Amino acid sequence: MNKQLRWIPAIAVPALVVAGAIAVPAMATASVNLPHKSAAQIVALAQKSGGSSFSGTVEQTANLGLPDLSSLQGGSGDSGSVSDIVSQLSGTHKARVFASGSTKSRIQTLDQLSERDVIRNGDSVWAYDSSSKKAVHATIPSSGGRSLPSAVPSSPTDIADQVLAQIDDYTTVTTSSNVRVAGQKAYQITLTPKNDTTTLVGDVTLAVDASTGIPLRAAITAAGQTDPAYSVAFTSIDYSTPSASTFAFTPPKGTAVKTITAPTSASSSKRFVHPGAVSREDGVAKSEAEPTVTGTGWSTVVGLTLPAGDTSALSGSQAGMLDQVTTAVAGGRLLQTSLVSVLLTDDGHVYVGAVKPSALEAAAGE
Amino acid sequence: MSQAEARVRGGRLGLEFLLSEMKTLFRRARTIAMLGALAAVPVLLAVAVRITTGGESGRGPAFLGDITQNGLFVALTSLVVAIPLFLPLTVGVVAGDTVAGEAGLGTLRYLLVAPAGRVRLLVVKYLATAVFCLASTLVIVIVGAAIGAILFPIGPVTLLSGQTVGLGAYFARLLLLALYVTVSMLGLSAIGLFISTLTSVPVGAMAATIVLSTVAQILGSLPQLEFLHPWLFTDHWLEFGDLLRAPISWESFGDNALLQAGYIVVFGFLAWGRFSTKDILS
Repeated sequence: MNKQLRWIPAIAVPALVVAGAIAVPAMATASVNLPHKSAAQIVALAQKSGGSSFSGTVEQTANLGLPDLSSLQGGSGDSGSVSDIVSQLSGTHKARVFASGSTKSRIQTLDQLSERDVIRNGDSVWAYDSSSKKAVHATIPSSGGRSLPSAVPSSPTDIADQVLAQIDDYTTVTTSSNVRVAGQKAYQITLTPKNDTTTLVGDVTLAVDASTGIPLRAAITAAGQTDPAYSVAFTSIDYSTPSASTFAFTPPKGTAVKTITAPTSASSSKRFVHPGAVSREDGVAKSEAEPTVTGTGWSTVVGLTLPAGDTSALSGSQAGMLDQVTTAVAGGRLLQTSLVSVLLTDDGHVYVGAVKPSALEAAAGE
Repeated sequence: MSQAEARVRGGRLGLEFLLSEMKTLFRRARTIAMLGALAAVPVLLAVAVRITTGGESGRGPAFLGDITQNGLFVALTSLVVAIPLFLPLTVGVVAGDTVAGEAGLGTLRYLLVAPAGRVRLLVVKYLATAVFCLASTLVIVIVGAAIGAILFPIGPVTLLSGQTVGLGAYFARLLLLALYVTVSMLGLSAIGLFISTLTSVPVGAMAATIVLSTVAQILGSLPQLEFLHPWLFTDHWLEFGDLLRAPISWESFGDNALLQAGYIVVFGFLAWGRFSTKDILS
């Protein structure tokens, strides 16, 4: 009998550990008390947060209904545009974000045993990929946008910037319960497209830090779904200014450096989530031709012309990948996710939008 | 038998017990052979890269392509190669042998005759296993850096973030890496210790421990079981790359330590529950 009692700690302690592991995250979502603010006040709070200094870790989760191709990608150092973006749009990714004022930022996408960096220091922008050892350097006009267009939004600020820029006739803003994100108390607002039957976006929920106004979490839910199709959230954040050396970048020995010309800032302000067409680092170079923008608000469609030589980038192993994720439609191939549609036409145009495929075909027909 | 008694009689503090236990462990031909096999991993790797010049870049384990430019990467590539199989294999052998090995040899009861106590025996056995984890990781890192320096040019090392650090800072990071990998193996060691208390056939305990590490890694690679991944002791095994960023990302180190601590507590108490209620017949 006495002997059997010795099993008690052996059973109780593991049970406590498991219970603790479940209870601690649950406590973090307990209700948060904050002074009441209207939706408009929260939007204003978020809009004036630009230029803050912070460093933090961001987790991005995509559930767009794309097949998980991460296993196919392997250790390929030459991960080209399509596979790169498809992998970024499936599963969970981690990144570290550093910002100092509005002109210095660094985003490190933390892949296992490799890293992709986008560093902005003043008007100089570097993109660096540690697995392919390639760097891209661009100089942006001082009047340019907040950051270079990235194919995939990698921080909550990215999404917030885009949706808050569109708070006008196209959006309804409502408040929802306060939350705690990355240990900070935050207000929540939900942005819903108004009178829009074309867009695939159901709503966008932003969690805005109650003290600094920095968007701590952004979740995009596709129309007709309950779980977010795409969410980016800080898992930790620190409001001290990162050291200046964080934003200094010198390409290491053995890196292939490409210098590109900057885009005009006009196109970057109108974009929403438009992955697929162009890669993060090559995007600027490829979209030399001015993108065409059709539609308004949430159902904006962006059309790009791929330079003639670049369609070959979609050959070989890339084509196999492309075939897996796209379906053939009249006049091209269509990539359909729960949130974004991409139409690659046979004549080298790419149409992207958070809209139903029919809207893309209409835009292509124009 | 007198040897077993001598091992315990050393002292009541446990420290001498631990020292004598480690002496027994590291003097064993099997342990030396396993450390030798681990040392062979970087040597084979470096020699293979050296004699086959101009291989395809971008394929094979991480950092393989960097070796020809900088020999210090041999240590990293060897760790990447060793973590999924070789390290768990050797750690599984040592951890599975802890109690079952003594039981199998018939020396367990002599260990317990002395005023050692079963708890102290378990703790000492576990600590010796942990020291073996550290030793095996250090062997890979040190032999890797050494063979790389002999066969290839060495120089300042480029981190994943694009920054370049000098040799001193790089070796500091290598030691951190060794510590990270050691911590990674502690959970597996605790599982091995528990399994080892279940049987008096050491080979069975070793095999079960090694199989578990493989099963956990297979489960970890299935995206359908994503909800399970944070609970697997192998979940952070390959995230040691976070120590090669600038600034260092400590998050995975902390997460890993917490996870492994959870496994140590759970399986430590299970081992204690089993061992303290067990009838020692051998």
